[in-house]
Parts: sequence; C-alpha cells; structure tokens
Amino acid sequence: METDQKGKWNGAELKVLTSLLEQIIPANPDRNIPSAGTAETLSYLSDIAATDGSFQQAARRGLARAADLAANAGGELDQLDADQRVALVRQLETIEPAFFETLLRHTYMGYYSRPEIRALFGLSAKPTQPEGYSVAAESIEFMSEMTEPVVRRGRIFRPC
Amino acid sequence: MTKEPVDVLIIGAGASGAAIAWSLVETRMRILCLEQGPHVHDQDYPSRNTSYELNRYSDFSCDPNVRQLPQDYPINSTGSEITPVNFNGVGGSTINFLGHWPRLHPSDFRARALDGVAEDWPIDYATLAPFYDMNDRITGVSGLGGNPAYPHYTPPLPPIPIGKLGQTLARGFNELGWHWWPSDVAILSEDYDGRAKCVNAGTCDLGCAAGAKGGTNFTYWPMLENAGVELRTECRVREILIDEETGFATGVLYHGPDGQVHEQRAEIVVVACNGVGTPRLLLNSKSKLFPDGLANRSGQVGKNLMFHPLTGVTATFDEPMEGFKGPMACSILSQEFYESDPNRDFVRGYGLHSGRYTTPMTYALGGYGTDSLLPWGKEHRQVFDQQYPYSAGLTVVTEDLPEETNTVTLDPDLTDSDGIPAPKIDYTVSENTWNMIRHGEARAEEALLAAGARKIVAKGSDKVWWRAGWHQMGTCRMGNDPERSVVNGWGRSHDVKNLFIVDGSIFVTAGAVNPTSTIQALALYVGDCIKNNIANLFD
Ligand SMILES: Cc1cc2nc3c(=O)[nH]c(=O)nc-3n(C[C@H](O)[C@H](O)[C@H](O)COP(=O)(O)OP(=O)(O)OC[C@H]3O[C@@H](n4cnc5c(N)ncnc54)[C@H](O)[C@@H]3O)c2cc1C
Ligand code: SF4
Repeated sequence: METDQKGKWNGAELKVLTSLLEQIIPANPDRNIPSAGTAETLSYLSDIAATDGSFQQAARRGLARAADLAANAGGELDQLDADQRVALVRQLETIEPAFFETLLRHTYMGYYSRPEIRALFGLSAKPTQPEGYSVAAESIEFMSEMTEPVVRRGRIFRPC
Repeated sequence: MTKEPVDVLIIGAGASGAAIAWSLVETRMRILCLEQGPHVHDQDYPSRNTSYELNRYSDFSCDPNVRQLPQDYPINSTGSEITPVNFNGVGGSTINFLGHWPRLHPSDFRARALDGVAEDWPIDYATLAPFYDMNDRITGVSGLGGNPAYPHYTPPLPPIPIGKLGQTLARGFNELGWHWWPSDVAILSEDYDGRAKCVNAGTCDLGCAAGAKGGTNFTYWPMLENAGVELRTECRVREILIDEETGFATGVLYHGPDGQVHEQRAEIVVVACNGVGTPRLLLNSKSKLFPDGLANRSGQVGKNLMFHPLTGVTATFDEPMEGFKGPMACSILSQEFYESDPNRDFVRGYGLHSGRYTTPMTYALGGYGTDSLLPWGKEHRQVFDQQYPYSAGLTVVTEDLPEETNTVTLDPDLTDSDGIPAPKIDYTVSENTWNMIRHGEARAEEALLAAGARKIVAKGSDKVWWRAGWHQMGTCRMGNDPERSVVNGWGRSHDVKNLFIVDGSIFVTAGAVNPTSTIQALALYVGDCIKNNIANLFD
C-alpha cells in the first residue's frame, strides 16, 4: 500500500484507518456520540502525516500490517465480526506498539479537539474565553457553616 | 556593542523579576530588565481558539522540550524522575501558571530546629508576612480569612466559588474531622484594579485572556513600564561579567533580537531566571576568579534542587461534578497532614489539593502533568461516558527535602539556539517522599470515599507525575554560612557583593505548597533590604 502524496491516504489505507479509528473510540449511538472513524479525525491525521514524515511512514507500515492481519483472519478489517476486529486491533497493538501508541495519541487529539465532541460532554463548543462558564459564588453564610467544624478545632500550625 | 550603563540590571521578567523591580522603582535608580522571551499578547492566547486543547501539546505546552520556541532553552531531564516546566516571556511562568497561592507555614522556616532535617532559613515567617500581604494586594488575591492552618491574615478579595466539586469534597473532609479551606488564589473573584474578574473558563494554563489571573504581565509589568522601568525583550543573557580585580559583577553579555552579542554594564545585577535558569546562568559565567561558576565558592550552585513530587487519586461520584468549570488548580486545600507527626514513617508533610477537572482531550491523554493514555475501545467508551463527567480527585503534593545529589548542572553537548550550554537535571525522589506519597494516597482515598465517591478509579502508580516540575527551588539557597549557601539572608551573593538572586532558587526548604506567593514576597523583601542598606550596600 502506498500513500499517494504527503498526508493523503490511498483508498485501501483510508478503509483500514477508518476501521481502526472506529475501534479505538467506538460510537455511543444512545447518546449520539460518533466514533473516531469520521472525516474530521481522518483529516486531522492526514494533516499530521503531511508534516511528520516519520508518522506517515510508520502509519503506512502499520496500516499494511493491519490489512495483512485482516486477510489472514479471512477478509478486510471492516468485514470481520466485532470480536475479530477487537482481537485484530489488540494484535496490532502488540506487534506495532510504537506506531499504535502514536496513532492512539493523535486520534485522541484529533477527535477531542473538535468543538462538537467537547459539547457532548457538557463543555462549551466555543473557545473558553471570553465567555467561560457561570458558577454561582457560595454565600458568606454557606461558607461559614461549611468551615465551622474546621474553625472549631482551632489552630493546626506549629507556632515558632 | 556596549550599551549605556544602568544602576540595576534584572535578568528575567517573570514572577520574581517583576516584584523586585516594583520594590526598587521608588529609588529612582535606572532599572533595566532583560528577558529572553517576547511579550505574549492576550489576544494570542489559545483559550481564544476553538481547538484550544491542541495548544497544550504544542506552542503552549508547559514543557519547553515540547514547545521548542526560539526563546526556550532545552532541558536534559533524562536523569530525573520529574521534568521541569516553565514559560519564557514577559510574565515568565506566571503566563501559564495556575494561580494557586498558599503561603509557607511558620514551621517551614525551621525544619532543622523543629524536625532535625534540612537547614533553617535565615529569616522567618513573621519577617515575610508584610511582604506576603503587600504582594497579595498588588496581585489581587482571593480567599477566605481565618484559615486555622496559618497565623491570621485576610486576602484582599473574597474566595472564588469552590463549586460543586469543592463543596462535595469539603463535606468529606468535614465528615472525617480533617482540615480543609477554600484555596487562596491569585485570581480575581471580583473586578479589581482595572482588571476583570474570573469567568471560570478552566484553562488557566493556556493564558488567562480575561486578565483575571495574576500573571505579572497583567499585574506588575504594566505599572513598571509606566513608571519608566526599561524592559528589553528577546534578549538572552549568556554570561554575567566580573571584574577580576574588585570581584564585583560589571554587567552581562546578552544575545539581542538583532542576532548580535551586546554588553550591558550595571552597578547591581539581580538574577531572576527561575530555579533552573538561575544556576544555569551562574554555571555558564566562569572566570579566573570563579572557575566553577559565578558566586559558587560554596559549591552549592545547582545543588539541592527541590520540586514538589506529586501524585493523584481520582474517584467517581453519582452526580456530574462539572470539574471543567472554574480555575484549574484551585478549589480547596487540606493541610491536615502538613506538619510533622512522630507517629508517621516520614518527616514533614504534604497537602491534599483539590483542583478542578480537565478538558476531554487532556483527560484522554492521561491528565494534566502526566503522560498515560486512556485505554481504547470499549473501556474508552466506559471511561468517557461513566467516569469523566462524574470525576473528582485529590492531588498529594509533598514536601521535597534538599539533597545535594539532586542537581542542575550544564549538559556537555546540548545548547539553546544561541549555542549556550543547556541545563541537565539529575533528580531522584527520596524514600521520605515515597512514604509521604503512600500515606497521602491512602488518606486521599479515605477523603474521597467520605465525600460519597462511588468508586476509586485511579491512583498514582509507582511513579510521580512526570511533567509536574512546576516548582523549582533550592539551587542557590540562602543562609548565614557562606560555606553552605550561595546568598545571605537578604539575597545577596556571599561571594559577589553586587549580585542578588531573588527567584525560587534561594529557597532553603520547599514546604508543601506552591511557591510563587513566597517567591514574590521574598523578592519584595530583598528589594526592601537593598533600599534599607543602600548607603553601605556593598560592604
Ligand atoms: C504550568 C505551570 C503551573 C504552575 N502553577 C503554579 C501555581 O498554581 N501556583 C504557584 O505558586 N506556582 C505555580 N507555578 C510555578 C510558578 O509559575 C513559578 O514558581 C514562578 O513563575 C517562578 O517565578 P520566577 O521569577 O522564579 O521564574 P519565572 O516566572 O519562570 O521567570 C523567569 C524568567 O526569566 C527568563 N530567563 C531565564 N533565563 C534567562 C536568560 N538567560 N536571559 C534572559 N531571560 C532569562 C525566562 O524567560 C522567564 O521569563 C506553575 C508553573 C507552571 C509552568
Ligand atoms: S478560570 Fe479564571 S483565571 Fe483561569 S483562565 Fe479562566 S478566567 Fe482566567
């Protein structure tokens, strides 16, 4: 398998990579949370590959390895059943640990940097500044009540 | 190229450099500060970008070895269990610091007298107290007065909200009858001195674009530049020069933004380059008089490096904790185990800090200060759906004792972009600290369960957090004995009478609290001593 040019995956690579990403961060359909195997994360990984030749090389080798493993298991990665796919990714993690760790790191970064994903976990999709979040200040009465047992115990530092 | 001489030359525009400049400004001496980094404008802070989390792993990483910006110097920490982190620019590491602002305890200044370890400081808490207060007013510190862990003082502003997470944990501490208190923070709970209050954005490490966090780029520097202090940026000092006959510092050689080396002469030289940058600069300043590095007749320059080794315990609760809302490192602090107790298998103590929680990407990459990726697949889904929103944790922040074997030296090969030798760190966590960590993890677990945690989900392994060398202390320590210390009780070098050091490198012990309120109080104190001794400063 060859990537055509820097950061561009060829069709076969794209297929394997998409399947891997779907395994790394699976979807949660109940909460409409997509898997990592979407165009945005793929595009993030392409950008990384375009600027980091060693990642591109490692990825090319790793994806070819994954395709071989799938062929040995009887088909293409996305055609295997769920358990087989997980087993294959585990195998890849064992035989290509450095590539797999880098892929994991970049996948997490690409996926969670997307504002719409952040928003699924309660954060704002917007930059944190200037709006931030609203958090109510505790009243003086509430804080006095909360700290009362601590104050009642008295001094806890050693005077010297 | 030689420049017009100045009265006071300060090297480094971070926390300590700014504070001493402010103290000296009323003397009307001509003050110049040389800073290797640029102004970092708040419009450019990543917290204004949509994909702000990515900057935490590139140009706004706290790790200079990751950032690799032109103003950064590399640090070889392959021989260390913790890597030092920082920021270089106007404001120094207060640009990306988290604003947690506790003071040292009175007993921290007397570790030898009280506990038979380390050395005593040549000054005490009472001496520093007015400078803590002064600095709190300038910085705009929020907190609740009356903390029984300290002699009485009241921060100028009311506390920031401790939020749902802080309230939950506080109930756990109350259940156990343990000390806790809302954290003192260098973050505005109300508009103050022309600056706007905190908006709870939660990304304090990415630069506080609101200006609510008391980085010296928002507090001291605007006042100083108005008052006529000259700040020359992108100027990296390579060496402090010495007059071989008088033994006095005459000024420095520095690399300017024009790529040229310049000489700057000065009557007084003040070093404020942080606990790693300062010993590095002194060790790089060799002469016939000081073949082992400037001001190093004691051999103590670069020794006794202290961090605050730390680890964390995380739990999940039944309800969402909203941990991403509010200042990152500051909610509540328990000092129940801060003071020595002869019944424990360690001397000195630690704090249990409750920060907030972090953003999803950082959570997935293992948390702030660590590098340990979350699992992939089904487990990943479980962690994010069932753990992340419900998480709260406690960090065990331990006191590190000074050890001569924990050092900053010069790397024989590694250099910065100007060819200046880079620092090399050799550092091992001591057995005393490990005992504290184990004790602290067990107590943190107890507190979290008492607060109603459903499950403890993560504990420190047998490692301390790697990227948590936020606090760098002890490498040019103060003392009365010139054989055992680098500077005297008011920051003046024992060996070079017009050379002062004001950053965390002059700490004698580290305490178990974040150091910057003490670093700045000390810098103000040194400034005050210079003013009081001006008539016979060099005697
Ligand atoms: C991510 C992070 C979080 C932190 N959180 C907290 C916290 O919550 N609470 C707390 O108390 N502390 C915290 N700290 C630590 C705090 O930032 C430092 O203790 C404090 O900034 C140290 O002040 P300083 O003046 O010694 O050094 P700095 O503020 O680091 O300033 C040193 C300056 O010197 C300059 N410099 C160095 N060498 C040269 C040279 N050769 N020539 C010219 N300039 C030079 C540097 O560029 C830098 O700007 C944190 C630090 C980091 C990195
Ligand atoms: S939480 Fe507050 S201090 Fe921190 S960056 Fe946001 S506004 Fe600034």
